[in-house]
Amino acid sequence: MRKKQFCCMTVAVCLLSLLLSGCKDRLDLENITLVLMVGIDLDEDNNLVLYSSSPVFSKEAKSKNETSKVTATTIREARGELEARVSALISIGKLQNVLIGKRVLRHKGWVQLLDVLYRDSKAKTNARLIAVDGPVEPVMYFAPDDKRRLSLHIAKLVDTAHERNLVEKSTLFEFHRLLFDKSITPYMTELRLSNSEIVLPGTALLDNEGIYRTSINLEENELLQIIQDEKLADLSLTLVLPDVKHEKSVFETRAISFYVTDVKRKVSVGYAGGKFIFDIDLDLPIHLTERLFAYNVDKNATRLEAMIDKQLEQQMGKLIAKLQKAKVDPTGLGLFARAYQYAAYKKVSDGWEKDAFAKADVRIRVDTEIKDYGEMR
Amino acid sequence: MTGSVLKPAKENQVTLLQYILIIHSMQLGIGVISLPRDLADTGGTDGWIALFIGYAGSLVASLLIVQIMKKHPEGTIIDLISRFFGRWSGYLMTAVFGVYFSLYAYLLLDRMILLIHSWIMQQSRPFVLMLLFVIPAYMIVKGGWRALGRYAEIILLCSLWMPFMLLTLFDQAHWLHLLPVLKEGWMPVFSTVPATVLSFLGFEAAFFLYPHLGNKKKASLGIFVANTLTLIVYLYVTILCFVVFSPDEITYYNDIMLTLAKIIEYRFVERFDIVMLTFYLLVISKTWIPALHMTVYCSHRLVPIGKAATHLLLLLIGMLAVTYIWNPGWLTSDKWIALFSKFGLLMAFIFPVALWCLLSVMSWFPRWQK
Repeated sequence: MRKKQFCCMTVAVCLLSLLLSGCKDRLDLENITLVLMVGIDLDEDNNLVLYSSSPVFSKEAKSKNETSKVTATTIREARGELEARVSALISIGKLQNVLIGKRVLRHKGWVQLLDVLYRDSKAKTNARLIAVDGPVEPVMYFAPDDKRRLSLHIAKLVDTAHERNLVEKSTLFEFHRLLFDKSITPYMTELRLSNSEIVLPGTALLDNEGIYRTSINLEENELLQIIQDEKLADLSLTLVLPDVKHEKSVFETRAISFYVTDVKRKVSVGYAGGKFIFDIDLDLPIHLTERLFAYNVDKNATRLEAMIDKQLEQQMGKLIAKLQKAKVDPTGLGLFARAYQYAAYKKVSDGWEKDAFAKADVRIRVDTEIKDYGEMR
Repeated sequence: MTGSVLKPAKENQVTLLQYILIIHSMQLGIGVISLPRDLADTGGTDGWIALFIGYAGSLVASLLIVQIMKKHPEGTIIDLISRFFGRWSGYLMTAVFGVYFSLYAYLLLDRMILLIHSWIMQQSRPFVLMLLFVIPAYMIVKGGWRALGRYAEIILLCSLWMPFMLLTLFDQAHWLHLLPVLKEGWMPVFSTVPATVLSFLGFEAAFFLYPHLGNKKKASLGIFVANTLTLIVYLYVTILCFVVFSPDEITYYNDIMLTLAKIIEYRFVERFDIVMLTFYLLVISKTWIPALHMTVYCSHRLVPIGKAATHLLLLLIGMLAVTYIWNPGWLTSDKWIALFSKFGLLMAFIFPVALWCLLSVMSWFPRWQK
């Protein structure tokens, strides 16, 4: 009886395994072209141009990357065009970077192009979105001798620069959140090809519809991340203190550098006279790493702290004014407005950055405390 | 190869843990994948509060079921109805429960296949995918309640890591999303309650499982623990989604839990959603496999011809045939599940309440006091 059962089962399993060929999703690794980087740009006549960059694993190929360029109406349509060009079948499951030309960012409705990357469950939503200052083409075809594959180099560059708080980083997933959340505007890393070198000049700030507004540089980005309370790894600031005595020289000897070792942020939101009032208290323990002027920190720490506070407050105030002028709000203060002043927020939620943030009164108070001033007196 | 589905209760008893897990696992299935989105749809960021109301409702219904079953502890609901209301009412209820559980099993199995189809194997035909699940299901259901209980235990062990994996996502959390609590008052919360009530469906399995429970004194405790476990899981994923996704974007995603798992990434494994979904399929399988068992129980009571295993075989072949011919897509599946949940409301909430009232009234008369 048992033996008969066993035989029946075996036959059944063998027969059923024949059906496995009905799975049509089988794809051999040799038949895949992994697209690591996609470029989106507009040409002179405003036609959409798409680039793909994928690694080549063949020993015979001299170049380690293959880049193709097609014109198409959508990204998914470009896949067909690309598959007729690249070595094998396109897969965007390992996508690392999506480069978008600033020309694209200036036109309404470009965010709809990304739909396929969200809708297709096979796409990777951790790909970084990067705004390219200038045309995308030279970046896509750029092949430096002293770097590894450009797509991986850029990915690493963006990650590490973001880790040091120098640029903001938006993955597709994060970008979607920033774009749809009414209380915050999106941003993405900016990238430029200058003198045959890939440079990240800072962060591109976009408005609620994804249209490019303005850019901030590396220092401003550090300040922004302090205001956002999103300090990641080492955050090092260099300030020039105008109140320090200074002898004329080609070198700036009033500079001081320090690590901000922690950010303790307190935000209180008020609403009065049709205006939001944000009081941001920042407690920053700092660790001096460089001081180009003579100063007795032992005795006069408080005065130095006060000078640093004043300088930081000034710079942050300038940054906020710049954001308000450009009508963008990457600070995330809108989240506080929604959480603590919901009734007032609800009225302006549809145009938060234009109607409320741009007019808001943002008061920043910085309180640094020198915890450590290094190995020298 | 005997009809072990119909073995008498003594030989197919389940322990308290198995009883808890079978009920809990029938509740926890495809719901989790889209639940946070459904709650946000009507309740905004306060949708999670409605979970407690849904939980209270399901708890009341569950405890009533246990109270009802106490009146005839040695049999299932079918035996109880036949005893109190006559043979023909018994037949009628058998048919109703049979249809209910066959729909339950089919719609959930089909939804699971759709998930695999759209997330993993987009080019394969759904009935081929279904075939792969039908065989293990046959083997488990044939073993009766005890096998189902053991299956539930094993799957619990296999899926324990998942909530811990999701913990890493809390570093992307924006807790401010949850404030202010009750931002639009209580109305959105109340309008979300129906969605939460339905996500607790599954405890009606106690109607059939109760006679198999060894220690019947713990039945109420068991069903309480099962419901609470389900609440904890639901609450966990809902809060997680609410703090990670912006309140303005959360309603744009369909399978929100999978989208969330997609952003978990390690150096050695990308696309964590696929790993997650693959394991979660096991959890989903625990919802429809017991339902299959109850369908077969009902069909065999109604038409006691042949072995129960033959009924099961025919049922599974029927499901395959339906998928082959009908091949429902997401829209059809959504529509049918919405219809089915109305049926569920009737069977799991209204039916026990009505039956309990009826039995309480009847027990005043000396004829039914025993």
